[in-house]
Amino acid sequence: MGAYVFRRLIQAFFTVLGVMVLTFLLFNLIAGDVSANYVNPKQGKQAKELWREKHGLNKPLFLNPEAGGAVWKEEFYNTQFWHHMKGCVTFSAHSYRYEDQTLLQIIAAKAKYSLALTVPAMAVGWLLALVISSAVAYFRGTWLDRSGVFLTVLGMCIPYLAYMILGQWVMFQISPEHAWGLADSMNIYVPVTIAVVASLGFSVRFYRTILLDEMNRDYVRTARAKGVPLPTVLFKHVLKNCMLPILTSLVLSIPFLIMGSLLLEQFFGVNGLGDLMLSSINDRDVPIITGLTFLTAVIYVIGLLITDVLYAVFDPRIRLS
Amino acid sequence: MKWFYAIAILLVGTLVALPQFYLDDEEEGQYDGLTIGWNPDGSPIRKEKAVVLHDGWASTIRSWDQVTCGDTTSASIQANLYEGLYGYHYLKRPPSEKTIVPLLAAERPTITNRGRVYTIKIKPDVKYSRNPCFGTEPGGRHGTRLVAAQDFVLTFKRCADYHIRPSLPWSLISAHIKGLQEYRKKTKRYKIRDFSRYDLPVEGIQALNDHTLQITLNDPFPQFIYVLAMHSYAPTPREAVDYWLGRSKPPSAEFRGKESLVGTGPYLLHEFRTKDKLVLIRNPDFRPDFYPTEGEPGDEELGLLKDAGKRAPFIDVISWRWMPQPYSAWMTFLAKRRDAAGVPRETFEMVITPGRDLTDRWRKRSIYLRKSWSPSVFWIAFNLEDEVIGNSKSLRQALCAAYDVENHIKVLYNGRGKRAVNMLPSTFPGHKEVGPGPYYRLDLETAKRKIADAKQELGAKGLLDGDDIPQLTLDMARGARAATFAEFVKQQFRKIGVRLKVNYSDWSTLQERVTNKQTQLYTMGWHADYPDGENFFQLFWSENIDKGTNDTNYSDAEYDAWYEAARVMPDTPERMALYVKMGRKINEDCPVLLLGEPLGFVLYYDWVQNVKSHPIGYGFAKYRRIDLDLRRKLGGRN
Repeated sequence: MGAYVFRRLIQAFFTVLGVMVLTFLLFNLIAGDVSANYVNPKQGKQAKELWREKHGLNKPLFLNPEAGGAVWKEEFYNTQFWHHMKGCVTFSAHSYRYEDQTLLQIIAAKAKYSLALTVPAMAVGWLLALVISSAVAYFRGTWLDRSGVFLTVLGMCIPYLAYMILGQWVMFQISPEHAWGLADSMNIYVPVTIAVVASLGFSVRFYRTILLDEMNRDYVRTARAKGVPLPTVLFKHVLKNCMLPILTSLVLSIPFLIMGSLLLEQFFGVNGLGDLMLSSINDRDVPIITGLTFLTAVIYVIGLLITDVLYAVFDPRIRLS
Repeated sequence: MKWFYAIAILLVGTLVALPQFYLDDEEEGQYDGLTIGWNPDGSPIRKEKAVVLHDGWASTIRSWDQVTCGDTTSASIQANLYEGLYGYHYLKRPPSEKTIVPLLAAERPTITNRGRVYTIKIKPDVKYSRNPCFGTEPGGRHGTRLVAAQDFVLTFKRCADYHIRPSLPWSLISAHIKGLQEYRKKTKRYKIRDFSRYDLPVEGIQALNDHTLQITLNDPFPQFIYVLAMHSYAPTPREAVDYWLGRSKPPSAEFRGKESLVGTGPYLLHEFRTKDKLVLIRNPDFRPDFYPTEGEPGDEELGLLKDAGKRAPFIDVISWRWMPQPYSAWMTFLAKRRDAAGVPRETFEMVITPGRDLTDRWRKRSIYLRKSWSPSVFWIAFNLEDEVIGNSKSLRQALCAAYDVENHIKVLYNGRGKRAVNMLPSTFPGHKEVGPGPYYRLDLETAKRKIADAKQELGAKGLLDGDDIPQLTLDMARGARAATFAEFVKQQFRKIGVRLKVNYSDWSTLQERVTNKQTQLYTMGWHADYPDGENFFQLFWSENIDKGTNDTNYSDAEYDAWYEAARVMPDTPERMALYVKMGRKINEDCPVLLLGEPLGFVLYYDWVQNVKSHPIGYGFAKYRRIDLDLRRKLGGRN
């Protein structure tokens, strides 16, 4: 197990490195003068040049010819690429928009709001989906199952935006002070509820399929033939064996928790990272975009590693080597 | 397996409850007991029930330091914290030299040496907001001191400081104040935290004594009074530089943290969370300032003179929340959670009548409308260095005459604007005198005649595509309405047989293409810095091609000569005659296809009083009033 984890960490390192090189290349290949987003056009060309100088955009891209290939000299690393790498890894890059704040400060200030929305939504969504899908699987073929399937398909067909607009409108009618913003910390449960309801259709349908696949296996039939009650089979054996795909989907969603929910955050006045990411893309705030991409990549590869380890925990047949 | 289910449920419960432990609640009445002044013994005078204005904002605040303020959002906030030497009269219109009033200056400037030397007396008794940089007084409150002329000198030097990002305040004075460019070069040699650079003299800015400032210009610059009416040139105490910037991390020469902002304005920055919350509270050390006693005809009927002569400010706290979603902002307004709001595009027809007034249904909800003409003009610019568009004046004239601007405003902007008939905004002196351009109106006959002329002009130069005008390319920034906009332009040009290709890009790419002269037609506009036509005429001065502000690359020797003569002239009939010549020359040469002047619509509840929007000036929140009883009665927030 230890060797496997070590090997995966090495792979993860190169994956993340690849992501960083790619994001750097991507933002340098896109045409356009970033300074145009930050310097008032009224100020003319000179101001733009000064801005570029201040943000190191006049430095060489990869190699600094002034260092003459001397890798031991600090000058060698005085290039845009090395600054990008350092800024990402240490989270010390400075936003173009909020020049006094480092990436770390920005993430620290905003991540808590994103997490306040996404973590409860994920946890409740997961639990509810599991309970509902177990119930519809338990009553398979009955009116409850058919209604459940109908409602999940209906839920999947309704656009996310419709849930938000309707949810907020309803809140404004019944309790305006809780319909927007976080003046009261309880307000966070409005977007949480909407996120749960909006995602429930897909999750219930997904979990139901997994559960029914599992319930059609031989061991279930054997247990039922031996007279084991269905609830015991379902909750003691079936659910445990369904954990692998459920855990996979759950762990893979973790990286997106910190990134928040862009639309929900904007709609409900939650000052999280989702809004930051979108506005950074619009503003071409490269240090923020590359930093957040790096963070997502790191959490994602770690998430994958944890999933693999959990596979071994939940399924003794799997051996990591 | 039971333990697993128990732990899962417990874990879910904990995760759901977790936000309650770290999210802060905002209490109603949290600003009650606010300090609004001081007793002679230094003890605070508190206000039992604070008057709070609730509003929203949706654009990024790019600067907190007055010398780097270059956008309207930052200016509208900052002008409540900092005061310049002069400002605009709150009620009198149109804004002009005559409506400029002293703020920190004691009187209007004395101008000598043929308009080159400005001598300004400073009010002797204006205090800065209390701040740790001034030390602590025996009673425990932070210290303050009186504003001195030297503090203005420091501000001008900071505008020129190499270590501070160059912004609009620098651009407006860099070519005009004697010795400022040289000073900037010198500051480059200093380290960012070495503020001894502010001890270097600048020939053109002198504090003659504590209360007299003298500014010497390279050439006469009659618009300088408007520059002085910007809050960007508000005084900076040296103590704040040494105390706050001396310890800033990372090293910075720019004020950013809320504690470091030291001004003389009516409000202090109490709380700021990026894209979340912004709260200003009343400055207890604000100088005596009184609501204007005179206005325009009609102001009295609108109730705008009810508070004439009363001491401002009337509102104790201004609380803004970040509301980028128009739907949420609108719903929050309807729920009376905020006191003012714009009108979203989707509901515009429901709220505003075709005659641009508020519908009765909304008036009955105790809502009223304020409209304001923005001092801006939007256009489709022609790159005159392009071989097709630059070589055929007739083609440009034809495109202008074929364009249905009225319909453009109606279809794309809900009628929120009016057709621009010449390059000056309609509220500017000179607009009427210049008169409507012959091609800045829908006239298909003329357009067709001109397109025939254009074919001859271009044919003579071998620039036709067969017998047709070559396909033109419009560059524009991507946006919510870009595709509709582009389709509308295509339709207009199609009427005279001109084919158009649209090239969408992001704002930075568009700017780069404009700077590199790679565009043919592109969307652009200008928001005035001051209410003088010169601010628009400079856009076509050939010397500004290299600087980047003349991005149509228009160059005409006759126009240049008129501009160079007019830019140094005071406001006289001779100057107006030159303005008219320049304006008519642009009307004839059509370097831009004029679109419109935007009209802003803002709704207020009846409890928000003394509202009159100003097209140029900022910092008038001090004159607004909230009728708390009415707000409570009508179901608004307490």
